[in-house]
Amino acid sequence: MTFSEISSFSPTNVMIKEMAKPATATQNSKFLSRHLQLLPSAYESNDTARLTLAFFIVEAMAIVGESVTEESRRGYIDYIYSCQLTHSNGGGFRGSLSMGKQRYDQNEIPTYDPSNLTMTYTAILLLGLLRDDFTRLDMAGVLQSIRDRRHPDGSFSPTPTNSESDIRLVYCACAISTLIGDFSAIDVASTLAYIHGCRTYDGSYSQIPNAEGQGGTTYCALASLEMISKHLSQQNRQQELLSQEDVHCTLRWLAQRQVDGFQGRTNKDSDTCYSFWIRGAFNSLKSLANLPTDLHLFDDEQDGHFIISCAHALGGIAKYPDEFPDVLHNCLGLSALSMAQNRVEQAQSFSHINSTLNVDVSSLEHIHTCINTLKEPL
Amino acid sequence: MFPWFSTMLYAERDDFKDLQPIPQDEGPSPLAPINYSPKCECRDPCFVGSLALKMTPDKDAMDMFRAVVHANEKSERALGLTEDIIRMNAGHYTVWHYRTTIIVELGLDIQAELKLMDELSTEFLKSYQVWHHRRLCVGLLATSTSPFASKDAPAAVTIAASPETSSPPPPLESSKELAQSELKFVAELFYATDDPKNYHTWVYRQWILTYFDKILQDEDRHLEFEFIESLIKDDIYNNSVWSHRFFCLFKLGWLQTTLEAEIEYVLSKIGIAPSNMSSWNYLRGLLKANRRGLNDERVLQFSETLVKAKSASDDMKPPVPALEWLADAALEDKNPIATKYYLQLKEMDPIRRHYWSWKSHLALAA
Repeated sequence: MTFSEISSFSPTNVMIKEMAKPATATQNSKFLSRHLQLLPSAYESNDTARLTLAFFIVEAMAIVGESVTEESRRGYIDYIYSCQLTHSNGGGFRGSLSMGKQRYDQNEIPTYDPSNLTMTYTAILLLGLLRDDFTRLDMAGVLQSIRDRRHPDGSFSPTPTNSESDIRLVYCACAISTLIGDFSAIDVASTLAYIHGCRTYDGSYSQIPNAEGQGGTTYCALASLEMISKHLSQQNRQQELLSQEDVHCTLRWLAQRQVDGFQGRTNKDSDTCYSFWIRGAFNSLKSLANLPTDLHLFDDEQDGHFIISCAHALGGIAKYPDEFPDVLHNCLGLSALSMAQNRVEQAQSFSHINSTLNVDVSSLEHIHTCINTLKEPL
Repeated sequence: MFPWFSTMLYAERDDFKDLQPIPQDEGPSPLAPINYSPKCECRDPCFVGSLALKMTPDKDAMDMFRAVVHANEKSERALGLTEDIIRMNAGHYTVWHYRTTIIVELGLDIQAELKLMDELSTEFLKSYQVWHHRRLCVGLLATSTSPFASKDAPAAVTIAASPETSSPPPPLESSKELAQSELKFVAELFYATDDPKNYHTWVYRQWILTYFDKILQDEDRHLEFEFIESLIKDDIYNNSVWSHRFFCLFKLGWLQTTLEAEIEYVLSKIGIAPSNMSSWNYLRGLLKANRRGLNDERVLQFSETLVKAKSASDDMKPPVPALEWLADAALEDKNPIATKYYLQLKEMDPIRRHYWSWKSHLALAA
């Protein structure tokens, strides 16, 4: 699709007539390639988070079995690396080159163009999705960028200049550490204490300690606990991170969240992204608490039905039925369908995903293989 | 002063003509580039669909912002430029950070900044940055010896130094009025925006209560419980309010009641809406926080009455959470009747049939 075609793209009229039609995989592919080439200007306020938007697009492509052309693939990888800051510039990845500069002088820390922990997490996943060999990844820089964002209470902030910190960034720090196989930038004891501090009276987890529990933050907390638990057992320092009583309380809260699709909080409406967050949280809890792998909690048919009712006639999945799609809800909706694929006909050919890291299984294997090869002594 | 909100392009403005705008250069293969609008006011509303009403930053302002940052200019016109961009893209953390630096370095009026935040927090209710900035302002106003306000050290360095500076020093006694006016602002915002479940707003209110806890008086606490009560009256299903009540009682430790009285309070609310999971979950949390199990005589009796009353009428099913309480309490006691209850729940609540089946197996094995 050309620039002018995209500029004149106006979904309003078509929408009203064709809303009820479920989107086919082809329509979803069109939605994806259109967005990868040029995001509509509605995404302007996300320019600093563009690697994350690109991740949602490319991951969705992997789920439905699409790939980018060889030429684009190389170009995208180069672009992602141009967002990387070297170790001497503070390390990690920026979300885009929106501050206009690719490189900084040796030892210059760009205060107004810092890397962002969330972008570093999605950059690594994107490189895996694009089958990069990771030889250009500045591992020391990545570790440095986690350390610089660590707070004494075990939480993390997105940039060193930003003092806001919460469980979402704890998740990003744990995910990056898992992807590169190195937890040395995390102080496990304080981070565990922070996660436990986010636990609420109903068994969910909140964004910061003592706030209201929510589906996305519960996913972040349980996936982080799962990753930390795996790290500890690799070090032969196995610990029980949740009591049996807590496990049951959280399972109950997760089961309660299904209304047709899933709601993020008690007494709220369903929203496609929670189909992913709640399912992901459940998977992590299963692994953490050694629950039977065949334990099911949810009604997959109803969830699948809800997600498909949020699909737009021109492709893409929205937050709610009758809404416009966006790349985040599209990707998370597809991920959730993939997790429910045994019961959802439309999703049977979808790739399997690893819900803890939120990426398809084959890309994750590729990342692990490359990182392990790089770490082998020459 | 400066025409902040001029429709004229920054590149053409007289007051910025000494700066050369720096365009975004992204190399040959940009990934998912964004179709920047030339100027937000003149966009076709159909184009961006449902998001059309939201203003977006135009290329022109960002080009000038890059030039300002490149020149490291901290000035009133740069402050105006950041406001202009923030109004179009409230999530741009670099722009917010630059704005904070300007205010601190130039020693500008924080009260005026807070006033501006009144407007921006209403408009960009769901922006993390706007609430974070508001916190910085309140922290500065509430302390005279704030590290943020230090004129000796360059502000960028002070704020950026390390995450340890994330919370300001304790507030001065004299800032009680500030705390009260912030609480009033947030309360009004819930009504003004018709969004009393907004996560950011609640997190901010709880920060205010925590930060100013030591200087708040009993009458302020009393007012907070009145506020909670009015929100529960408005919408008994609002989980955020229940969560906030728990926060005040147990996290801030504002216990103004006994456990028994609080149980009675919740039961009276459950009487109004017997299937409301928010109040049932609160009740479970309440007992747990007091190291009590589910086998509380008063609650068991209440749940049994509810289940019986509803089962007796033909068209009404017993409320799931009441029967669930009986089932979970029986399981806690290893009473075999739990299995029967779970199988009943499986019939009544088919969307959770796998969950209830699993619970019935646990009960059998107990």
